[in-house]
Amino acid sequence: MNVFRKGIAAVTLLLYALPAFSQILGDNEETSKFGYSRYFVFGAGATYRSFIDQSLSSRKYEKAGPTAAIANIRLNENKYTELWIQGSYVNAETPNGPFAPARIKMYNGLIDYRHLYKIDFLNEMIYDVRVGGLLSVQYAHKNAPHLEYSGKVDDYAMSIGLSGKIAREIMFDDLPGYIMLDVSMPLLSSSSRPPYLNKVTALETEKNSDNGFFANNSIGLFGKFLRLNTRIHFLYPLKRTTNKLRFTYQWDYFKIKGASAVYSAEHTLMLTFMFNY
Amino acid sequence: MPKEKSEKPTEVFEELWKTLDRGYTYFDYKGVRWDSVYMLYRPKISDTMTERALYDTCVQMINLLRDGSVSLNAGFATSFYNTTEGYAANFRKDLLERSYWKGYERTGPFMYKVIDSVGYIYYSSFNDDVNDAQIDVMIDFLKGSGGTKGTILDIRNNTGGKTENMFTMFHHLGIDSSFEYSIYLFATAYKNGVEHDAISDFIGSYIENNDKRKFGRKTVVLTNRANYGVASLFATGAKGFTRHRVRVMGDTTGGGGAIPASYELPNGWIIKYPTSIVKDADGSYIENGVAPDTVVTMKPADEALNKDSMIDAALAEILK
Repeated sequence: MNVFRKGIAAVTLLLYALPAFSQILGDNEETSKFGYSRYFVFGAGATYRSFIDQSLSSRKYEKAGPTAAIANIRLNENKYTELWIQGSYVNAETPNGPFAPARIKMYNGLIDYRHLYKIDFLNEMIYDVRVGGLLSVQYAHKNAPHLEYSGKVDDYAMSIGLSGKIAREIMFDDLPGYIMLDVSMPLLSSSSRPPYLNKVTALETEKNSDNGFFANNSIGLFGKFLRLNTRIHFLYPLKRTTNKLRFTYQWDYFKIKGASAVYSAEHTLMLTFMFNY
Repeated sequence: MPKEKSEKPTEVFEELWKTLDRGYTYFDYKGVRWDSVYMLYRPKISDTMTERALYDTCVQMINLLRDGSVSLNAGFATSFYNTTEGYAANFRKDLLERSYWKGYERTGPFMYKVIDSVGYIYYSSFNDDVNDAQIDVMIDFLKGSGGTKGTILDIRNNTGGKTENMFTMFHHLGIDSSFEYSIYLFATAYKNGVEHDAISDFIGSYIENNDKRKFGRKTVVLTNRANYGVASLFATGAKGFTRHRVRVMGDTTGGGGAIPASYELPNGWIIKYPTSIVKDADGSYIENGVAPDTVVTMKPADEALNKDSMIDAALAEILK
């Protein structure tokens, strides 16, 4: 039953990722000598994260917090690459009756690299569809001070997977803007969760390779690390310049399994400035 | 995202029992049949019972482990298993203040003075941070004030705290030596699976020779039953310094010492319990306490004369 469910999930996610799309170049944009239009992107916004980290608690913690990102985007008629670096912080809490809410501070870092190529899909006059690969690294640190001794948790995942995007042009006072959807999903990952019971090694006086950052690393498919990242962007062209403003809604879900599992879902709203260079 | 567990008493009880079943390390050592405990207590739990009744029942259950390092924090109350019950206190603060602590100096958490050419230091909690500079100041003062024969390090009623402070103290134990040495303190093994006997190999902890200033030519560490956790662990490690003229005197410690883990139950209560096992240099578990090198207790006749038999025995040991 479990294998069947995993299979259905894998096929569904593949189908979800395949229709990938991209935006079309504007007429007057700065381009590199290889014909790429390039953007340096920086932005900030708010994120609402909820998670269950079973190494700490069986309860769901959630809260809104700040997030910021920088990115570099290169695109031409056929190719799209994006290096996206995002950090976020939440001081998540869970209700605790008449007592002060229990809190877990969570720091999250994410690097996604998308490398996409245009494909002939849907009506090319209306939609620009691109599909390709995703390289991703994510790291999270949690600190639950109310859980004495074992309240600190680190986990990470490095993965390779599929990514795709679709873009449709929208005109703003004769200037081209875009609405875009992109979907990314890792296939193969190397991930790590804390050891059994998040063991505390404070009594050890010598370095022990069993306790290192990579000690619990393991390689696996969806069952080990599952992530689905979906973003909807609105690109708004700025007048008298080739720069753009981008409004993004992102939904990012991931699950990492190890000695204990973590489940996290995040809704993010972000405003970014895209500097064309 | 999996469905959150409910706060129903039956579910909280199940989670508590399961957490200890999968993580507690001393079932076999203590001869506790945890499955039988479940059979005994599960029928007492119903979803209609009050929060307080659930807490009381859960505390009764975990106290069957007879373990001072297992506690349940429900917000409105925190349980602990009293391991000093039935044992002599071997510590009289009023007597110390009257006869021994008058005119003491204080640096950081340490109270200290010189008694009969011996340095006397009282350290009340390993939760109170210590550093090398504070200890150096204290050693300078004691030696400069005539406390040259040795040092009494009194940790009675110290209920433990941070391991960092314990290691800082270990670096100042013993005697100055230019020889290479490595002192075996204790060894730790970790729970690494759900089965009761899923325990890792033991990993030793050591203190290497170092250039930190030492407490004195002879050091006596005074202990009693109220030494739990890290304080008990300190007594274990101090016994490894025998060749460096350190002796542990007093009563058997209260026990514990394995670093605990905390886990949050579905209703927000927190269960704290040991997830590792610590053995001393002889290979014995220290969970039920660390016996001193020399047993010394308070004598009522001495107390009547405002004397602390344990400090006097430590002075005699150093001055002999």
